[in-house]
Amino acid sequence: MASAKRITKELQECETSPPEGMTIAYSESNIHVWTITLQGPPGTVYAGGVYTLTLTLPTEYPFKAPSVVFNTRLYHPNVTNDNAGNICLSILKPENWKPASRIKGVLEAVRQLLVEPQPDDALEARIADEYKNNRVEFDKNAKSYAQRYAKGGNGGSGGSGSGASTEGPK
Amino acid sequence: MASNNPAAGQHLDASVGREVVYCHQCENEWYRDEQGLPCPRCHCEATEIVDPENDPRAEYDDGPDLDPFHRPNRRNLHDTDSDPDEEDIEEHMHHHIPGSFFGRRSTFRSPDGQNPRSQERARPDSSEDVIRRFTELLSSINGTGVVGRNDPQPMFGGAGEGGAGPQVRVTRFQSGPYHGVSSFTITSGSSRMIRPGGNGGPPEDPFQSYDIPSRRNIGSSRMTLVSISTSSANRSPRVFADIFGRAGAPPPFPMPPNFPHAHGDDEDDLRGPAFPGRPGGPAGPGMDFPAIMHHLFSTFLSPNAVHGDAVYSQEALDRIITNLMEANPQSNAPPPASEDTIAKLPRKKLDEKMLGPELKGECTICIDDVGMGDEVIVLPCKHWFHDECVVLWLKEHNTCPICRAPVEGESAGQPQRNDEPAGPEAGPSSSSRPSAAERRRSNLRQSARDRFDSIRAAGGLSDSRSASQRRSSNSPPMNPPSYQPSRVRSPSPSTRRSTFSERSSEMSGGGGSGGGGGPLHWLRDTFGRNNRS
Repeated sequence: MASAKRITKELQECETSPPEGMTIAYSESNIHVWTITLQGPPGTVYAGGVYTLTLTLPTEYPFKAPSVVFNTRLYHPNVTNDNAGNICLSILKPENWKPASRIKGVLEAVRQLLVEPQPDDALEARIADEYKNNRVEFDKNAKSYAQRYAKGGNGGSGGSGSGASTEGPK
Repeated sequence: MASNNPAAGQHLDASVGREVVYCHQCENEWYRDEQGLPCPRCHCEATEIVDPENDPRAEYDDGPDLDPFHRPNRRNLHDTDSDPDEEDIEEHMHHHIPGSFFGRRSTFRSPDGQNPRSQERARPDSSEDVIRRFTELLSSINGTGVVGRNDPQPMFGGAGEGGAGPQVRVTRFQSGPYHGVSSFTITSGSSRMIRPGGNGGPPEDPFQSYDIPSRRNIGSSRMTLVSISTSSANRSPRVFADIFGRAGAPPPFPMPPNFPHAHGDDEDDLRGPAFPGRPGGPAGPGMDFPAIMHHLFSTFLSPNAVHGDAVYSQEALDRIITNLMEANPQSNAPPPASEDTIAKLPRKKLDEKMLGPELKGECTICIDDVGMGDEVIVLPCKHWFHDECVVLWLKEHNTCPICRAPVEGESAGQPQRNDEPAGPEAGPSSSSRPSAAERRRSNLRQSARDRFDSIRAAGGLSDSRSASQRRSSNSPPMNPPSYQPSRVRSPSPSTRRSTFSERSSEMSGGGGSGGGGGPLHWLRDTFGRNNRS
């Protein structure tokens, strides 16, 4: 119950002053699952793309961390390059989570991850390597992914999931 | 060529004064004075002048039954066998690849259930005899004779059989569907760790076996045998079908009391809390046939693989540790605070000093507003929360919900520990900040160490105090996790360090203070109970 009360409060907070570049949708019947739409931060390879995320709050919230996944595929060292879209976010790890953290902070951290990938905390080692050592190639691949999955209508359309080395549109 | 090549089975006579040459390559033979030494047919040099005393041709002709298995190419010589199919079986039995096994089944039938051949044979309705013979058979296959018979320590302590034969325990039950009296027998081999020093010692902890495998256990094997028989002669298939069909479901029969030991420490159980909190008593539900069969077959097939409560290979150990870690994903997080600590935390009414000039604030856990006079719990780090809010958190983790400073121990809320060995901490860490990558690596090392410490602690393997001392004095200079977003009121590095050391000493020393759950504790409790009982 306490969690529902806090979630409601946080929901209000996020509605009145949403995190930058995000809109939040939820179902009245289940406030534990939020759908977030994130505009690719300007100035990054993700700019112009529209990314949807799902945030799930455990019943133990805020004593257990929420979980966030990308529904839209993107080319990023800290997001699994598959349809699961798992995110490596240190504040969500059990050993780092603390009740004083807020959902808004979590969402801001997700967006910050797009602005500033953390290749040393990578989920996709190969992409992290490319990010560090071959930024030109990384940018090209990331933009190609953005074009393919995050632009032109529905971001969550999934796509065929072909290899990571997909060339950008000529 | 036919002129030189005699009919099969006949050879040129080498004893008549002419030299006969034999080609090892094509088995041709000829007279040397006619054709010379090289083989006229295949022109090879692998030829030999036949000496009547030592005729190379005889090798291939004499006694095809002498050593048939080394000459698979000469199979056709065996075609006179009375039963070609059976010969085929022989072939398979003797040319099995290493590690496989072969068997032979004999079926004897007699109309009245009596065995006409010999009184020695166990009567089918005497399940104890059958099982005794089966265990004898198994022990002779194994070559070690460990199945109870020669084991100085009877595996079912005080079972009464006194080592005068395989330990057999029979439980009879009346079962509905097939209207017969069936017996169910489980026999276990020398499954207990037997260490020099013997019976007088304290109860042994099963975890020690990972560290100090007993020598006699290596050579021995465990047996778990199951026999099912029914009094009505033709029912056996149905019984088996029925039992196997129920695999996994609670079986309808009572278990012998020794069963939890025979099965309970099977490696499979480490995969998850399969039966948490299960009492050590009769373990009826949950015991499944595949597990027993797995046990039985693994005894034969892979004597070096996972074997009950001991492992003999790195892979097996790795697998167990991986299972433990996966089953306990929170083991990195701080442990719960003890009830005692929580009870002793100061409760205060909020005053102006705590609330600041606006006289308003909020509990950061429930984010409800608070005001003057509300009662809160104040942690050693001076952060305060609603009583019920922070207690819920402290029952899971012993750190401040805001700054993660520890709430108990001598270092609670303090930036520094007194008993910390000064050496490594005063070293390079003060002069240069480690890079993010280094920090991360050392974090990984630290968390791995914590996990192993907790495993060791759970096994009672090492003096916890010295373990944590040794660990901390070996610790590389490091800063604990620092990738929290900076917008949260971030603690000073020294506070974080003390958080860490406090936490690890909790893990290795406390050994689950406050009854925190988790497979490790469950394992320890379970095994502890087993040893005591």
